[in-house]
Amino acid sequence: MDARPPLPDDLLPDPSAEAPSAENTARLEALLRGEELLPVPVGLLSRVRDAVKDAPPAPFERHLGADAPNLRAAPSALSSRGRSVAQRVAAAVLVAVGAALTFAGVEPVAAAGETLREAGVPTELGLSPRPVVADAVVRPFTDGWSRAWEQPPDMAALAQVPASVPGGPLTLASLSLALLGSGLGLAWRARGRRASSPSSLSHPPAPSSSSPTGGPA
Amino acid sequence: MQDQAPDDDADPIRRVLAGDRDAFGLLVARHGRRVHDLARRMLRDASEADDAVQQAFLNAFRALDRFDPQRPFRHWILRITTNLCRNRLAARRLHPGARGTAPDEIDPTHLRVAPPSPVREGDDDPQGGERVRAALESLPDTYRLAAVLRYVHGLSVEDIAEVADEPLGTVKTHLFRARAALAVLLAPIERGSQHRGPAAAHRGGGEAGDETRRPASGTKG
Repeated sequence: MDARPPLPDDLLPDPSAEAPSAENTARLEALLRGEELLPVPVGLLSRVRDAVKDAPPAPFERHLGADAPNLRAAPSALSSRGRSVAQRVAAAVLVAVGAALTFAGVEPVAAAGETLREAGVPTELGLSPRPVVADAVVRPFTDGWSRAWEQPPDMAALAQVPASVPGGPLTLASLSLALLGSGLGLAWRARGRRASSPSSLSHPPAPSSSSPTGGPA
Repeated sequence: MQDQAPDDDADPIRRVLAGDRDAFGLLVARHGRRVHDLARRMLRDASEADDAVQQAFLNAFRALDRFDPQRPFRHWILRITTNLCRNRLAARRLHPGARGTAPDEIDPTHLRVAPPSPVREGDDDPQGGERVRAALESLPDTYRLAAVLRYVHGLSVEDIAEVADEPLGTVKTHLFRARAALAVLLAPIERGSQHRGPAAAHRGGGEAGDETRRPASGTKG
């Protein structure tokens, strides 16, 4: 004997054999239609309204801007997306400038080299203004470094460079590396902020993008 | 139960889409009771139904720009609720120790031996409404959904097919089987209502307003 409790289906295994008459069906339906909606617990609807008010911006709200009357997002000069873009652009600029100053030997480096030359420092360090800039078209800049390796700098002469010389090699290198480092740091922060953007832990998940109504699991 | 005309909901929906979140409160006020009723009857658990109601409206809010304004909002929110309830019922089957009772654990014979409900003064059919509700709750999920939407919410078969996302023929079959089961489960009440007339049979619905008076049915977790 099957110990499993029967399903309601089993109550009428053959509906055609015991089909309710039209009168019985009408009576049954009248009885069922008398059932009213269940009462809503006190405060449930206001809780739902509050939850909607406190919910993070919906996708359609992100395009509304400051004109939307009741958006929860705090007023800001830039939206979060705009801030993220600005931060990434700033990081890219800083990295580009820092890298150029550090590796490429462009005009600021050339100017610094000229200052050094005027101060009597030999220019075989690879910081020579004209040769590096002019030769960069036909030769990779690493040639300058190799020449520098072949002819080690005159450290004694370098040590005589007055500390007040603007664009001294140490200052320049520090500035370049500082710019490069701040740019990389900014890029890292922007990436970290994007990764830690509002999660779904505190709010129920949104319906899937393919079906707003969601679907059975 | 009258259908909410789509135009009635069109204005608050437009306002919400324009950024006025307060307008969503109108939609919650209009459809909240209906959504709660469906969730409560499908899940048979008060607190879980409350969670489902909140989640249904939050999901509707987030996806409101994808709502088709040519269709009634009522059907859309009921469909969201239906899918949420289905997901929760499926999760229960995976974790039987959780709240609620899986459909195949329900013993319909329990309904016939249920202890009598407390009698309210002046109520000549104290158990009628209770048993109708219990009988509906005892149906398997698919039949229960069809029966609740048809008889409690007053939806047409076509509307049920839209809400349940099922073919028309499937809905008709579910309704037929639900009716057949309910005819057996409610036979004593039907016989009683024959003697007292239709008014007594209808009175069961009026009792639904007093949630605290009703003891938990045998199927409720």
